[in-house]
Amino acid sequence: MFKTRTMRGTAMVAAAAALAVAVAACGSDGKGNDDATGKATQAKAALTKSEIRLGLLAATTGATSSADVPAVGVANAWADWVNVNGGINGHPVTIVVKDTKGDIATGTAAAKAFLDDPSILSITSASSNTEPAIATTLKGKDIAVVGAYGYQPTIWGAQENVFPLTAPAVPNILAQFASAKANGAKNWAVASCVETAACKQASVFYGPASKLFDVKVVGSYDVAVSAPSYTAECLKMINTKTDFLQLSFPPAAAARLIDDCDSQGYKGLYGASGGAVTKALLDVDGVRLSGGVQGFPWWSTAKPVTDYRQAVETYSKGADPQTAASTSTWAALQTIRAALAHVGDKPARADVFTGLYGLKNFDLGGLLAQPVTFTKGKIPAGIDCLWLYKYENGKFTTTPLAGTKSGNSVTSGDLQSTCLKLQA
Amino acid sequence: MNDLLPFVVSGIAIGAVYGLTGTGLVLTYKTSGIFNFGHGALATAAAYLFYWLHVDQKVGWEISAVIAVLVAGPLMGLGMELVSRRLAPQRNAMKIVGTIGLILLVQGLGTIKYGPDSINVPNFLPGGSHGFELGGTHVRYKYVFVAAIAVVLVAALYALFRFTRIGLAMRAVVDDPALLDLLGTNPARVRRAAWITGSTLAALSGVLVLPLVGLEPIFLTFLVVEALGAAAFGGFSNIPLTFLGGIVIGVGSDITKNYVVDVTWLGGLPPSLPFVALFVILLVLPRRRLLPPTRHEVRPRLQRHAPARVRAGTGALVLVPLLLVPTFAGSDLTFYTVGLTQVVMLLSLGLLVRTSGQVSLCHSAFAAIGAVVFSQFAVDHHLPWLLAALLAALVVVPVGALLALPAIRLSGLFLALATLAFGIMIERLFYAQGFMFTPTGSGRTMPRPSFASGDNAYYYLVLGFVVVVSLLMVAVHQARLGRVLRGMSESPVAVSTLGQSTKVTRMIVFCISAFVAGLSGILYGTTVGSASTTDVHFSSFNSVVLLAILALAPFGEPWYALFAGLVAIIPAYIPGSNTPYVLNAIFGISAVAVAMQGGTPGMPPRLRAALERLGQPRGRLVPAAAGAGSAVTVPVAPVPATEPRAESRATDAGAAETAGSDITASEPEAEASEPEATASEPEAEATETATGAGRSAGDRGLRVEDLTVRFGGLVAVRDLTLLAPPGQITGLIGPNGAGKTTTFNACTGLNRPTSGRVLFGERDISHASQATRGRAGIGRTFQIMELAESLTVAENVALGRECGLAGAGVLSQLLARPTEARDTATATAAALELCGITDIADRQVGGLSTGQRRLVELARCLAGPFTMLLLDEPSSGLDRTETEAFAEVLERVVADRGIGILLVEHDMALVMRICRYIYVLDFGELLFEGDPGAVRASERVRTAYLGAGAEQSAPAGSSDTGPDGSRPDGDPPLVAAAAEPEPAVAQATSARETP
Repeated sequence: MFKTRTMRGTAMVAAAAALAVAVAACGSDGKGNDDATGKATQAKAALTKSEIRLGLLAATTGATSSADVPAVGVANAWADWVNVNGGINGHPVTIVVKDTKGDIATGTAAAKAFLDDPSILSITSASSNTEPAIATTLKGKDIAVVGAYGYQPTIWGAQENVFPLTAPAVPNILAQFASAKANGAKNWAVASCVETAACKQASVFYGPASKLFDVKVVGSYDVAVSAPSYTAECLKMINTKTDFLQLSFPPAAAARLIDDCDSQGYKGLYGASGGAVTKALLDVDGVRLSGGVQGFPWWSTAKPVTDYRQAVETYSKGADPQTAASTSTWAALQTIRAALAHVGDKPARADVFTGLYGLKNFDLGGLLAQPVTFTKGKIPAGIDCLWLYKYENGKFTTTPLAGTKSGNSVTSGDLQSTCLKLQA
Repeated sequence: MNDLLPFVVSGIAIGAVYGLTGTGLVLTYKTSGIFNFGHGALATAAAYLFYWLHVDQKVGWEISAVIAVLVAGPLMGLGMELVSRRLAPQRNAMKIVGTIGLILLVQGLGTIKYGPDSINVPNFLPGGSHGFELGGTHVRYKYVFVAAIAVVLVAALYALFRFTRIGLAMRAVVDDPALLDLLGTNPARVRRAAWITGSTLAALSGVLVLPLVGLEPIFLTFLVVEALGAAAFGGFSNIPLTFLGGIVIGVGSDITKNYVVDVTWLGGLPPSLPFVALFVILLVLPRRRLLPPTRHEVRPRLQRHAPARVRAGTGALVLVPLLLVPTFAGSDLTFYTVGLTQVVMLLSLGLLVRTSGQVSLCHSAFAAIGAVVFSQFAVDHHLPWLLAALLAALVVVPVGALLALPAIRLSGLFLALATLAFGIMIERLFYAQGFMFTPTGSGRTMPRPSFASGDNAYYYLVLGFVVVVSLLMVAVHQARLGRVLRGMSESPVAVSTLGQSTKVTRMIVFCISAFVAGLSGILYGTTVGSASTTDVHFSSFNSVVLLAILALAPFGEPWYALFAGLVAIIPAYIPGSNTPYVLNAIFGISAVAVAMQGGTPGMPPRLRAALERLGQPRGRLVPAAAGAGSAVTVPVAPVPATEPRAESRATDAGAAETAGSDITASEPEAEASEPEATASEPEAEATETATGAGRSAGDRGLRVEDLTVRFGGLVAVRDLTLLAPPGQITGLIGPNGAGKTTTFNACTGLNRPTSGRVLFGERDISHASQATRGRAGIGRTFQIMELAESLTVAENVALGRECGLAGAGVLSQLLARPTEARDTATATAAALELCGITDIADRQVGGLSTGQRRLVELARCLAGPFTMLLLDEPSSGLDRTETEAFAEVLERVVADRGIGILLVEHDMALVMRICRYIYVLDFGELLFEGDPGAVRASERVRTAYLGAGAEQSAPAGSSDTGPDGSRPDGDPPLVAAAAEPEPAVAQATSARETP
């Protein structure tokens, strides 16, 4: 009887497994509200020229997907918005997304798949965890990698077919100090996750940055993401009169640390930059954040930004437009659109290169932190500029560093950027 | 002190959760014998349910908590009881796999529903986010609430055990479920109550910890590992101590933070503390605390291999499609290459788990270390690629050796715990350090060799490594190491008494396994171009996944490893966003199902028969164990019943020389089969070295002088002196519990005498290890037989010779010289013939009758070069004819070989017939000694043991017995106590603490 029960049980397990696998294979990739999407589909169908297919690499699943997932919704919204607005020179546009899963092998395979598919004209990368592997795979190939964002200076501003549009690691690290200075903080500390070495990779810059911005480093604390309490770290920090605590670990744990430190009486700012500025932090009651974002400020009331927000709201309602991943992906795709503005009837990868090389002093009306100029035969220069911000009482404001010139064409307002560079 | 106060408070809160979790863990372990690695998974499942109800469905927290804890908890407990019932008789590896399957299942399903990232849960505990000031610090009510709930519950549980009937029954079911049943309490119902209680506690832990750490699948499922430190503190048995242990660990972790929070290189210490505590406690806890609650296990499957020709052909068939992969894989080639690297990893793990029976849950750490060191060699020091790879893999070997140290004193479940703790410790203490994966997010660069930098070329290079490693594994299994590993896997006590140093064996296998795992890490890293902390292949969780994959992999070695390759390429063809999590869930549920069945199904008999026919050369098959890994043909000539004396002496001398030269070594050996008299096993140096000492060692026989053995307060043997000279059979008789087996164990090193000496010849072997005594020439059989159940009769018998030849040398354990192989084959055949079991040589021992198994044990002794045999109830289970034949064998062996035998028996007719001298024990003391006639005539003996009917000694062949073993002429019943431990041992067992 046992044998029979076991066989039945095993059969049930197998059936459930098969069903589960089918569900997994189908996956889910929700899009925006049905009406708008329907209209976008119709608009796309009405465009009679050949389709332009653009690749997007993003970690939509996996441990770090929360930072990259918004890029997919935004990219799809962008495609619908462009199609409704006449496509790219009359060509309908499609975004082809490949999930890197934050996994190197998967990311590499995804990049190769794009490379081997001649219909994919360009690649936009929103998968910072796997960017070294992807960069190695795509290095020197005949396909342009245009944004969206990444951190490795050995990739962005170092490879001929990689076109950076956002600041990599160093300016983002400097922004941690610059924003402290911009907001009047004097004693700077950092809490880094103990589980991943990458959480502390910025530490070599703390000394030089501290000197550059005249902000004192008063502590560096290793914290466990799974710790039930951060009282120890908070008390230490308060004792050293920290008024700016840079958070260098995952958002959910950072939110708990903020809660603990506030309960112990900490009154200073919390630093969060780049992809760390996420809903998990913003939802903390009364949180006071400051830092830098490499994608354009989503809170700006400038028209290009309101267009962006409206498009996302219309065509990808569930996507989060309030992340650096979201805005930098939009900016990257808009740049590609600009590059292909005059593309012929049979777009090819070479046309993307040609179009990009035609962009001079280009900053998308302030959606790029720094104007870009791409020249054939020269490695595209890295980006040193980004936006400093402050978030308090539920509102974002751009807080450029006093006494510095804007990095882009916008000299005042929320799109005004700040350029940060370590002196040689 | 005020400075430490906030850390103490927060530490108490999380420590209370550890204690609560640990309590549930200990409760279910003690009552069912199953150590539930999935205990944290139960907590996680309840946490997810609570979150869904309270956050998603907006149900009040009180109702959500009631449902998650008081409804889901008991339901999970009921389910677990059913699972545990199926798992209880399985081998240790399957028990572990069955429970870790729950981890994968819950982690997979939870991640599918809520994603892999941690989700903060708004505080729902009373007091909200408020707190109070204490010593200048704000203490939040949630910590106080958590601690208070945990303390109250554990106190209530303690009271339940101490003062209620059900609690008493739970304690009783540990020691004697049959007795409990006789007294009218159903043990199954009691176990069910224990599982319900334990699971409910786990569910409560999961809910309580939510506002502290958020909803995160891996941490919550690993909560059980944090709680293991607490359970270890309580010796895996004592609930109050377990709870206290949780508090100590929680407070310790938080207090440590105060001191190390700004000491970067110690940043990993606080979260590692539970695992450091677990690791250390497992190393220092007395062994008697580390014995499993139950010993009955189902017979493992027979390990069969197809004939060599068939295996070679299969290898070719498998290789061809692998060679063609680059022609069709396209952009998915990376998945295939990664798959090959995981084949190497599974071969490494399989050697340890499948062959040697040691469960390791830290293999990903070996891979990580190998990858990191390779990068340092190849990138930082510019060594040639191949040299860097081999050297890096070699660097991992000492790490494997380090892990072998706990393996020497631990086994089964506790070894798995130690390896899990080790892997997590390495991860938390070292992974984030700059010297490991560097401070950069991209980790270490892992270059490919210049001669194979392209994807296709590199694929073939990795395939080459797979082939080489596979052949290496096949060679290991065919060689002596494979044979002794298989023997050690199932019967470590026996092989150590046969002369094999199991300490060296464990060291060797861990080192080989670590080397290959390190190589796998290198190959994986160079496939993807980097090695970083964020790569799941190097995570401690992946070690758990690997074990599940190994358990699910069908076929024998090396084919099972291909399963890992198949698993690795699935995401290439089923690229759904949830594929990895679905796979984990499938692995999890499959692991549970497979474990409950005792493993994957074997090959269908018809297919096996067909393969054997396919590969069978002409001639008669003889068993594979005699020095070779597959069936060989021998001439069809009768094997002599006895060995010619001269040849036997030469063989014995050669073996004895090996034994003699090893006598200088002394090492603590495999677990004793009974509680030890003392907690520690100090290593002692034997003082003699000798050439040919083995022959002279036994010349004066075995002598015991004033031997006393205590187990705690119980004196099992007191001031015993006896002599078992060579060339005769000496009897050692006495009622059950008289101390006979204890005496045997003292003679063979399985317990430590409190006082007295054991001498073999002129040599004092009182402090020598079991293996040393075996190599000196003392062989034995066991009251509770110690056989390798899944091996054949011939393979078991061959161990009698081979273990001694393996000895304590690394090379001798690895390989057998051709002369040794022939010697073993000859000795095996002769022993089989002598015991009349040649016809069952290729049958699995586990399927034999008790009598046949007794003969196998005897044959194993006779195959070895022993000059003194200690036979513990060897005729138990034999019928009259077999006993008669058995007696003749013993007499012949003594006459032909001149060996001595010390015989424990309850068959008085046999004893009286073949023993020249008899010692009678009663209550651990020598009651009488003399020749059989004197013993028979002794009033004292008769009164104490034999009874009135013992005046007549049964002539040969006249041992008619009744159904109860008594003789019709009124002789006292033959005690059918072969499987019953002596009362001394039983009492010592029940003296262990229960909840």
